[in-house]
Amino acid sequence: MAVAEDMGGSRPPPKQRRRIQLTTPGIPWYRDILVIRILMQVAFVILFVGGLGIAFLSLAGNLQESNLSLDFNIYRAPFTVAISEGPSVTNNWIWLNGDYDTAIQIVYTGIIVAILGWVGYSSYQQNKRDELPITPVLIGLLTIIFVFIAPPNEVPQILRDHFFGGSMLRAFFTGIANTIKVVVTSLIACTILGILVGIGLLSGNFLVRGVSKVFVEIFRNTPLLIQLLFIYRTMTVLLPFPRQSICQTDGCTGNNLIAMNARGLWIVNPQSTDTTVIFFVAIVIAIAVAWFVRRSRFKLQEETGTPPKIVRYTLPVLIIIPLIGWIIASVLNGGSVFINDYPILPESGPNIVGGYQITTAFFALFVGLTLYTAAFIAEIVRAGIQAVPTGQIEAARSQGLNGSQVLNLVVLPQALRLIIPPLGNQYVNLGKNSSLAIAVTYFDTYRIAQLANNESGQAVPFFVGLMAIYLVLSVTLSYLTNIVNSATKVKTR
Amino acid sequence: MSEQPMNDSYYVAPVEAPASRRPPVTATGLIGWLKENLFSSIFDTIVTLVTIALVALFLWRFLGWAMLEAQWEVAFLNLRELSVGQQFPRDEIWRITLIAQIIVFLSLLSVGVWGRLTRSVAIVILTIIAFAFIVPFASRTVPEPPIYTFVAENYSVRQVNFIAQEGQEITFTLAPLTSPEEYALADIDGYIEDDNQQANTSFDAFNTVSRDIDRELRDPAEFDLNVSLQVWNIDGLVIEESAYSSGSTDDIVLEFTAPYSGWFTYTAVFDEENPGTIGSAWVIADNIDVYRSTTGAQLERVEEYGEAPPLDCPGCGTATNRTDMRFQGTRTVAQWFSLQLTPFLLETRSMFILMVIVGAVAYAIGKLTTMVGLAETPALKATERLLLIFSALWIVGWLGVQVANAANPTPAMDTLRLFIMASFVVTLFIYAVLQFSKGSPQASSQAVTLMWVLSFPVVITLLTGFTNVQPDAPLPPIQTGLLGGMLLTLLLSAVAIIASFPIGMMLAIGRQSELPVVSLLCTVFIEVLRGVPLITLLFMGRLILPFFGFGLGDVDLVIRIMVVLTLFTSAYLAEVIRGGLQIVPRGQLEASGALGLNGFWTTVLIVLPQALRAVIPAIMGQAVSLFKDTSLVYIVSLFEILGTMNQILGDSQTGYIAFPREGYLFVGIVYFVFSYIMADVSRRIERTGSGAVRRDTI
Amino acid sequence: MKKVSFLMVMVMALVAVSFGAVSAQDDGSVLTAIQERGVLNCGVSGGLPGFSNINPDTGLMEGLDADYCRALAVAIFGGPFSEEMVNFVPLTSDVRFTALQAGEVDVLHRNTTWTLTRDITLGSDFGPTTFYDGQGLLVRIADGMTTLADMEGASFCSTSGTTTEKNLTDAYRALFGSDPILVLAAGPSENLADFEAGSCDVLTSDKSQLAGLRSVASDPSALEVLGDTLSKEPLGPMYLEDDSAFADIVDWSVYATFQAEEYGITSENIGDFMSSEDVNIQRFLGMSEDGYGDALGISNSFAADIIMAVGNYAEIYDRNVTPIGVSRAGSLNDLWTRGGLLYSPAWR
Repeated sequence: MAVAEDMGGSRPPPKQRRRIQLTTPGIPWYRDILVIRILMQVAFVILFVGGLGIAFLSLAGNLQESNLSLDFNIYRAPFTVAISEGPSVTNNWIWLNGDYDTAIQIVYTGIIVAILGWVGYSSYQQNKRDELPITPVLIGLLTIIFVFIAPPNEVPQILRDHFFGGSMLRAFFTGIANTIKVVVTSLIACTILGILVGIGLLSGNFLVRGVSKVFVEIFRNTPLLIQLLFIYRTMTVLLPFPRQSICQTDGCTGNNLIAMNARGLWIVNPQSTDTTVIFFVAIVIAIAVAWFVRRSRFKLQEETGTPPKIVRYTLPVLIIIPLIGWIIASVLNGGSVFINDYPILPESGPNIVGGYQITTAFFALFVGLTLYTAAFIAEIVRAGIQAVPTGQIEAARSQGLNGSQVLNLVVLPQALRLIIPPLGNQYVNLGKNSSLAIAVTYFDTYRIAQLANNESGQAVPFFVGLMAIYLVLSVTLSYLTNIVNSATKVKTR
Repeated sequence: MSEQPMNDSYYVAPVEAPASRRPPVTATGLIGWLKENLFSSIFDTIVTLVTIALVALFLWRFLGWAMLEAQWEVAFLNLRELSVGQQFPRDEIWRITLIAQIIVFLSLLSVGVWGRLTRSVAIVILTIIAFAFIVPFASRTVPEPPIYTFVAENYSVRQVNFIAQEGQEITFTLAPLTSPEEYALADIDGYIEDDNQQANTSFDAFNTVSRDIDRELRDPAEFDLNVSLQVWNIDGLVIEESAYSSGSTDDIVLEFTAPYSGWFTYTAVFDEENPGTIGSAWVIADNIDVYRSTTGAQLERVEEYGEAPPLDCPGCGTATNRTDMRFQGTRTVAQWFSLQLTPFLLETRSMFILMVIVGAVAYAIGKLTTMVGLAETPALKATERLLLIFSALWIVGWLGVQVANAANPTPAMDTLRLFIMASFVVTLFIYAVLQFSKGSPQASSQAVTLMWVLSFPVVITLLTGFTNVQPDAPLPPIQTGLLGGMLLTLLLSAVAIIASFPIGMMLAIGRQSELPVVSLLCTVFIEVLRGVPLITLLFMGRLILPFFGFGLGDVDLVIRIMVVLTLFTSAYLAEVIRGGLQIVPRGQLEASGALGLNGFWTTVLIVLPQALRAVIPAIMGQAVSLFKDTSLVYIVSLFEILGTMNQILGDSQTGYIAFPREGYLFVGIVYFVFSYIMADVSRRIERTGSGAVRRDTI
Repeated sequence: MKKVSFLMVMVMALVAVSFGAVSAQDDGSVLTAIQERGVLNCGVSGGLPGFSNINPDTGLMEGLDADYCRALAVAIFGGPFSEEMVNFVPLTSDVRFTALQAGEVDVLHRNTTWTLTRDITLGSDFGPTTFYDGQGLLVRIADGMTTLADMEGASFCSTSGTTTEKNLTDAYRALFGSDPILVLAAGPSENLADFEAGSCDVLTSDKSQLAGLRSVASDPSALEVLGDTLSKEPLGPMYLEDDSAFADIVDWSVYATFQAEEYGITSENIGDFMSSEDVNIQRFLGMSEDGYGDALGISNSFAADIIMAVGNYAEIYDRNVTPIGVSRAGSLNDLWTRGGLLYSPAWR
């Protein structure tokens, strides 16, 4: 619904109509248009519900006929295929099994809490939406509870049945985690790339303009599926076999910061120690302090007119406090805040061990989604910027503002309002397009659903679940963009 | 002719203006352009240089791969499959060709009547045609690379069938391999025999031997084989023979001049008495044409030269067939043109040129009809009436035949039905021609519309055919399951975009409705369909829908997928159209109400025309994205062009399995061309302001 | 007013739909449905040489599974066989069961492994095994892996939605107590592409497929199919549960090919057997009054029709499976008289 609302114009809400008296005086009720309206609607609802009922009954009957069922307990059934991407299905804890450690959990939790806080805050600010944003909050809480915070033994038995020991539902959560992983990463990347290309489309430089145009045309006018297939095949063919991996130590047998072969990209994975928490806390404090400094500077500017000089005042804070945290942590822990887990190619054995692996499948999907969506975003950005009348830009220049100031103070504030709504649609599309992971060998929600369906033969429950998951994803994305949209709107009082 | 006043007391401006001073060189011409567009500032200069470097690097790498390494046969030798699908009956392809021509004709006719072509289009087309003729002609001069077959002890040497023209001079060389370096494939530049149908080909054998040498299981220097080269004629008789290499490691060369045009066979034979114990060599055949292996090409060959000669050893007989020869080493650019591009052009150019001619004719007609025309006479009017009456009669007759056919099908009905159909079309066609002959723009555009309408039954009939009684009746039916390739892609997108239009309109209006129930339901429908990925919907259309019963399972899969695509598109279209509905100011609605139009007519006469005109570009954008989305149907195993490419890649017999990148790239290019054209058209429409379609240059 | 008229339209549409819904009903037995339809929808792989693969020249589906589809069709509709009798539906392994349950196909002849869980949970039954296979491992000789025990930490390419990845997961967990790295793709050709690109060290699949895949690899001599077999893979037809009328026809259309080979009847020499004195052969071929077809509710001469259409098992095998390099002699797929497992129940 949210997608529609930003486009939906000002039509009178039905409520007002209700307050009008039900019948028009002087006309017999059976010829009264208002009465007819209501009756027709009732009839319509009845028929619609009836139709749905019939469809459902016959569905249930047919499933019964072929000895299948509609009950969702199938999600408890064991899931016996190994999923080699994302959080493990079998181990009794999702993220707490080595490949994601406490430090990263804290960061993730922080990010999610921040997002939720911001969502709540901004939605509270707008007097229109005083109700709490249900969907994102729910998702966020679920993620936090089941993925990050609650230790296994404190989760009620019923939840254990569902979430532990390689059940289908656990497999689904792995799939959702993978989907979210690829969506979030490529969402950030495609926004940055899209804005760059969009500005490039308006560049005065002929070459840059041409290259951006070609980029946009190519990626907009070819199907994403083919792009993914091509990118994946090209990557796997061009990258070397594991024994000939690319890395900075010769033979890759040493401690590599980064290593690469046909199976993916390995980067050094800093494992947190007991005192790493201090460092992260310090960072959080630093950010908070910096934010307050910034606000006070702006207040000062409003009162006295002294230039804020944000960078000069916040940068030291952002450097010093984390530094202190780092020193304390390292001192307490005998010199090391992190223990590095390096990717190493063992003397014998098929593949690189250690480090954090970014699989080729994920990378191909990430690149494909990013390029494809960026092409669309670039066009949106171009249109938005072009909508700003050139007169304003000239005026701003004549005020002595330099290029970046013109962009930041004049162009972007106006352009953003035009850019964000279509941008939201693009994000929703990105979320849906992530289901094309089946083209590459990535374990996203759709593939998991297929595997589960194939293992149990119960298509309908899994299919319903799949649709629900993607619906929630789309609605959430469009909801978030709506929040941003209404936040950047001109406040008219 | 006025006289210059002979007066010097006041200044008289000279008659001719003073010569204008030219601007500085740096501001004009090429330099000025460069200065302005590439090197306007230092930062700009840096950006320019970096961009040049990156683009150059990319092009170098990419073109290097595409021209010197890539194997485009996977696409270029499977054009029939890619265009109509693997299972489409070969005898019925003419129907598809005809449909294509009809559509080209009508669209160019419409352009001729409603708009005009820009010069750039003509230039592009002419360039392509010139290219299509120059490249094959020029590539005749490029020699075919040599063909390598392997010889080793106790290895049954290949017997290779080839075609030579009379007087063609071919050189066979027996080159023994004596040093480890020679056992690397690196310095080989040509075809190595690697028949996909057979195990243990020359390529495999060579690899096995060279692996043994790497493991030092055998000494590369040893060579005591005793073989000779032989060329057989079509009857399997030896017509040319070289001396035996009795253990000597010198090359043996056999010069051969074909005595007739047709099939020959060459091979290397061991001496019966002492074949030798160890050693390996290449048999290098130079200046033999490796022929195309499409089924069509094979049939032509059989017609021209007869069947290939049968070979006595089943395991090792092969032919200089493109799919049985693995190209090793790097091509030259010239070879890329001759080996890769030429077959493609030869396959496609005739079709392309035919289309261009048809299009040109149609365009000329369209232009002509808007200019000249004969006057309106009573006779003409009468003829038109008569034709209309006739066509009405044909319809009645058609219905009658259908009923009768349903009652008891007889062979006579098939032909009768076809006849009625044809005459109906012809009648209305003549009517359209008469309309054209009036020469008035209105009449012409009416006629074009009529022709478009007329083309629908024709196209559909050609596509589906009739369920005839006797098997050999004209236009046998084609099951939708046999459709594939580009045909299916275009069919799906055309049906979906056309059918989704009314539904989308109803949804848009319904969503705007003041009745809460209606607007709620429409909103839910739209948002749900826009909220889930298309593949889940396709999956539902294929596998979940049948569970609902109502005979949904028996509905043909293609139809089901069409419905899904239609509903999916209509949800998006609804949003687009709703955006258009909102531009209509409320004042107009009130005005129309004041004029006494009820809601329905207000919508039809006032709102929709403006709304739709406003969103034409957006609708075109939808069409493009739908066209791209049809590539997903291969996931529910409908083999449109991408699915067909996957079939080709997956078919292990043809051995294209190693070239997925080429395949996908080709399909991508095809998609790009089509959707770029669509997007370009919509851009032109947009540029000339919405709704000004008819006066626009398309 | 516009709204009301619009609403009326929708109401009518709904009425129509619901009436259509009520009026439409479908009866149970697949057999009657097929006979009404006049064509057998047979689910096949469509991209698997030797079992079901489209011949690019003829556009026809070829392979062992495809031939059994033809046999079933000719048994149901009666001879002589024509290609219009069968509609081959290519199915990826992901969707095959749903397609069968949804009634999109009447029967699966899609090298489907007969397992207990599938038999129970999928609401479907298996027919007699038409091909005894086993899961094998394809590796590069250079990697020096000889058994699964050498493969700790290796990556495995497998086709998604098959038994192979389950078996492998179990075997690997049993050996190393951890999860294997699986690279799942939609089909065997994608598997091979991944394998050749180095995305995985091992390609695991049915041995019959591995042989075919190895032969089309860019350098077959560098690859080898390991000896050890991870599981037994009896491949056979699959159809919906509780439909014995149809099930019997499927089963006996398969057995007919076994029995024909036992009798030595081929598509060439069947003419001679037509006039055979042996009463069993007469009954088998439907020459005598008391043929077996009537009991099944199909033509008496269905066995003869099948043999004339596709031949006996040996012919089917030699035509389809031998070319991909899987020899029959001495294997499980040989006739029981020669020590194989192909054994037809008594035709009596």
